[in-house]
Amino acid sequence: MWRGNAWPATLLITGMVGYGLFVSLSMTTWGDYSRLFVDPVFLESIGISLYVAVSSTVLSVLVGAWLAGFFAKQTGWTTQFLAVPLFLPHLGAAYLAILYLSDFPVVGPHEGNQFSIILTYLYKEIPFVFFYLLPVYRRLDHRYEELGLMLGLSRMKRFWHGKGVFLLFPVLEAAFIVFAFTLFAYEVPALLGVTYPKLIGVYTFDLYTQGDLSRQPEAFAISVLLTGILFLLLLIFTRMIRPLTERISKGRVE
Amino acid sequence: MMKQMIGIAATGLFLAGCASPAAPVQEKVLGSSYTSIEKDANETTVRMYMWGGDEGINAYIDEYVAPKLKKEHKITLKRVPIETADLIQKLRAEKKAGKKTGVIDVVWINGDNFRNAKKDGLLYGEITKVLPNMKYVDPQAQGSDSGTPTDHLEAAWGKVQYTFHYDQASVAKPPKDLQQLKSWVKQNPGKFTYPEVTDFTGNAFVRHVMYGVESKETLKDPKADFKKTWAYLNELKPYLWKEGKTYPKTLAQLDQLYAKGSVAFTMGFNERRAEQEVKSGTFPKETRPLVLTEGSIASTHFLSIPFNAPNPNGALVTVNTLLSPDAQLKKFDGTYWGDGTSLDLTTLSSTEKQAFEDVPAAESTPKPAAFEGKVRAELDPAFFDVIRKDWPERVAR
Repeated sequence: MWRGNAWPATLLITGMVGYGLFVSLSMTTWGDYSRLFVDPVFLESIGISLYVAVSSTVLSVLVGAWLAGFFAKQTGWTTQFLAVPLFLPHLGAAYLAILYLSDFPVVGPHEGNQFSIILTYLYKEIPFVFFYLLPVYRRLDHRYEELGLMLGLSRMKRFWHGKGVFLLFPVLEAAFIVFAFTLFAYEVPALLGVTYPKLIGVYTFDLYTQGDLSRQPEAFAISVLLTGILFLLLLIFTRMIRPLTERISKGRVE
Repeated sequence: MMKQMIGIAATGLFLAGCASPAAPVQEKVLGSSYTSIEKDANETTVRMYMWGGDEGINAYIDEYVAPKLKKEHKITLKRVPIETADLIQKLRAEKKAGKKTGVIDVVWINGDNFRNAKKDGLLYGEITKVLPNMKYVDPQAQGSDSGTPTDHLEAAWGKVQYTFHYDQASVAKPPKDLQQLKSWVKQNPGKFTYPEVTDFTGNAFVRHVMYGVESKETLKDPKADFKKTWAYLNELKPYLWKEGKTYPKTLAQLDQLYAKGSVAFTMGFNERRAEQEVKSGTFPKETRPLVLTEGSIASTHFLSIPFNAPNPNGALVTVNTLLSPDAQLKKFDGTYWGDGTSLDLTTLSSTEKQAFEDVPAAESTPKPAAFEGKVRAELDPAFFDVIRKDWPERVAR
């Protein structure tokens, strides 16, 4: 399924992540993890980070997928318009938010509801999801839905068998990438976030760099935990959902 | 397949290729005379890693110091902007990896970062013992770095006082002490804030409050419960910018708020730091200084050399040059930086001393008399840690 020569890159990335994980693990003891689970500052931080990551992911996937479906039938330059935000880095987007949202109450930077952070992510991630899903939409074979219509399937079933099974896994892939990115990001929350509770990336960086560095093990413990959670999610996706969608799309299981 | 193998081999080679020839041994360099150090430093390149967040400071290095070193010693000075905390992390990683030759020759350092660097053995050695210009440096400034003895590992580069700046156009009657500051903040909600305590300046603001409201006994014991400090800050909180629900993350952010007019006060170490900002039009023309009666913490900042500096000779000559009376005078002058000198002016010749006294001060700079009897010594670094640990839970939450 890998096109081209992917494995040197895979080896390099696996090596880097593996070594990072190994170093982080060697820096921590059980005590660091158990301390985290009773630390109210950490728990509130992880709570607010999940809220930001989940809402950014759900919204960008919904809007991005809808746009991809809408533009799939059209050709021309209109889709390229959506590529513009991809050229501006997240840091730039965050500065735009500071420039243009600062005077808005509730929505602006440094508000407890973190709307400006979510908006910044949407600005970047909607186009990402859009371009991730556009080729999938364009490859969809419309005859499946026509077949469903002829067989008298309900609207929902027609959508599921004609489109859903082909889209499910790419959508989950895009969602996973956005989720993993937004959960542990640093720059955008550092610029736009509030002092308390801090988003987990900022909190971890502070633990890692501040003071006499005695809290560094906790920072490593957090990164091990988050890597673990993301790895678990990935495992669930690839081991359970992917085979399922493949079987369904081949029509072996109803 | 062949192509893949080549790709991997190339990656390996790239990673292995980072090694470079070993730096001269510490004992040899620090044991030799300054004349021979100067000779060895001739026609070399020195990389100076320092905080890059201030244009005036950067211009001082690039436009004054670099040409001076080039002319006097044929040294090419390269300034690399970096956050000092990141720099310490980099050195720690290099030490751990056994990297005997790094890339950093001179570092600008103080406070926590020096404490950590000293503890982990990240500095070159007793550098100040070989520098001729140390004879001008004020022993008081040189002795300790925020309570950590310097032990000759770093050289005092500048000495500054914590000063508030306010916009006279919106603060008609400036508060004289912390109590008046509190009343002013209550009467003018949203017009005051301070950086959060992970920031160097924000942490120091809380230490000023400690100096003002705590008793002498609690100020000696970092383990004490600083109830009065937290109470004072919590009283301010609802009247701060954004109702105290959030604080500027850095001093730079507070300065931006002040420049925009969102708040009426800014603050920081360095009594002259507003001069450049007013001149360039960033800060309002009506910016004036303020020293509260509770006092102002004095802070010294330092230059040092990392344990694995590739060019220690060049680094020593650079540090020595930066301590020379003419380089210090240029730094003191508001043209570029306006940083307080670390030199003891009584050690200078009368013309040199006069030159320092002749430097005009802008209206945003307090007169020397404003600090009389108000200079406070820096608290032990353990206080910094306590503030960072407790403030988020006791105040920000």
